[in-house]
Amino acid sequence: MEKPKARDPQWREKEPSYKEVVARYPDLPATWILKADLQRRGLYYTEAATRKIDPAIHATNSDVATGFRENRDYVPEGLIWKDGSYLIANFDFDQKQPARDPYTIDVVNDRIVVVDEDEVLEEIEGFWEKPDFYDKKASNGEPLRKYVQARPQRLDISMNHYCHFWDEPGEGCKYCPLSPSYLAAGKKEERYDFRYVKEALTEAVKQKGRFSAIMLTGGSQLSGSELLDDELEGYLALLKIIGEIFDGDRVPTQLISSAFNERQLERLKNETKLLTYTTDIEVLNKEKFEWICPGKARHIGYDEWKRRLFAAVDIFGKGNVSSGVVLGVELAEGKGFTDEDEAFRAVTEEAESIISHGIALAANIWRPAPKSILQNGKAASLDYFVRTYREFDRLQHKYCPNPYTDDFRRCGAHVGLDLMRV
Amino acid sequence: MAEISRELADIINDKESLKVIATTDAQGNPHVVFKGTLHTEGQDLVFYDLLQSSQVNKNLVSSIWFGRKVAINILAKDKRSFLITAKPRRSVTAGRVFEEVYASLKDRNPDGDLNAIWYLEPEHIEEKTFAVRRAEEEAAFPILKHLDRLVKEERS
Repeated sequence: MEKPKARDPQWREKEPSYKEVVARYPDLPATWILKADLQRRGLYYTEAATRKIDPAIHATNSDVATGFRENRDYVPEGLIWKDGSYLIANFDFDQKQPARDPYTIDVVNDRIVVVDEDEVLEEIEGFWEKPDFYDKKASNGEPLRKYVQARPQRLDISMNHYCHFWDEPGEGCKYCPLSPSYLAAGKKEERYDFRYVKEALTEAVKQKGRFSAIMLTGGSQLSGSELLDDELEGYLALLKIIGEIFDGDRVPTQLISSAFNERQLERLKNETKLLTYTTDIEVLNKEKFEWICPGKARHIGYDEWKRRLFAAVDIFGKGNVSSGVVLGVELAEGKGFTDEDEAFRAVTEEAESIISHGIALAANIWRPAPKSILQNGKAASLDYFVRTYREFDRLQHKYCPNPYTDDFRRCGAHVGLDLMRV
Repeated sequence: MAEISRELADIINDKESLKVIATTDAQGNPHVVFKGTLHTEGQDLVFYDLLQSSQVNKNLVSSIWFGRKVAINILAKDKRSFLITAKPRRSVTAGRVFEEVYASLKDRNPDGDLNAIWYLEPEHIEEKTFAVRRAEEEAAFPILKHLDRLVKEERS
């Protein structure tokens, strides 16, 4: 595949460069800023870099097929950094007409490196390795990797492959490619049979020293006796399967779900071995949330979503609750902020109101994902992301007792939380 | 990069040697810890960090980010000692090598865990054995001596 070119060839003249941002924040590691920019601008693998992939060892994009993945090329699932951290590096980047030129992953002197404008910026340790269970099959003959996916240290279970906030036209979250990708692929099977999920989990944990967490997530399911009850029942069933596999009162697990109410949260706490709970408020501003996440706003609402987050802390304990944020989408063209300073002030003020409850913010870098409603938009400047992450980190060091929630070992997508390593 | 001699490698890899590593956090606060697993792999100094929340791990992450050095001291069973300044080069937290080390540690302690394998590149190596250092000092700075040590012994 040819390296994609930026839609705007003059984009570099319109914003601070990576090196300028590094110079502006000497208290932040340059390698970390580069990771953030890789997530913002995307990346492109040269032929030499793809030749470094050993299919017997590495996890490649062709190994798994979850709803978010746009690129089906034979490229690594993720990169391993010299500091031991991981970076999801092949996900939902625009491979055809990105807003900015992507970085290049190349090979120089037999070493895998990150290159921009012909300059080597960083050496990469390597690619994510695939787990043993990826080469094995379930009792129905399907590959086990269909039912459970792996990051370097985490097992991922995607329960619902479609999100029902998309049932009503115009109500899906505008940044999200999950349901559009599902529909475009003509898929019909919203959920896989949990029997095979159990088979995959049982096989996966035979690999000693590989996994330290299990994450469950999926599209929202609004149906049931009460809103979200069917989604709840699904997760209860999956968590009970996990409970059958492991000893102990609690298992290092994370549920990322819709915002359940107290009764539903109590059931999760009391009926399963779930350890940590995450519900993604997504946009740190009520007005922008209502524009970007209209389905969530109509069915639950920003204030109620936030209140349920706080209620989850009372039930699961401080340090065991976090919230995902699609950082930067508040600046999307349309009804987003038009000024990065104004957005910074609004977002960090709102962040403190949440983080001060001991809730870590797992903030993704928003870049317009193909098939999403905002696919033709443009992500914020690198300076905006770095400045905002820096403030989130200051708040999280002050208020959050658990620096490991959603960290690189458990995820690899939220570079901001890398700063909690020190 | 300083070269680890065969003799020093043998001392570092001797289980009876004491090995300490001193690091600093971003604010300059010092931290010292014994690391029994410190050994050589080629010209790297390697040790296993067993706790994800350890201060040495935090300090090494900060050091690799900002290019700070660490200090290591090796005390051999014959009381010879060596100071090594080094830079963290890489940290391995997952993968086949990690799993092999994890398995070997489990053989020794079935309830144990592994956080990271740290690889340190030695930049400077100096013997700090007391007798060696005293001889060096006396040769270089004859002024550094209490006079009573120089008083002639009375002859009876």
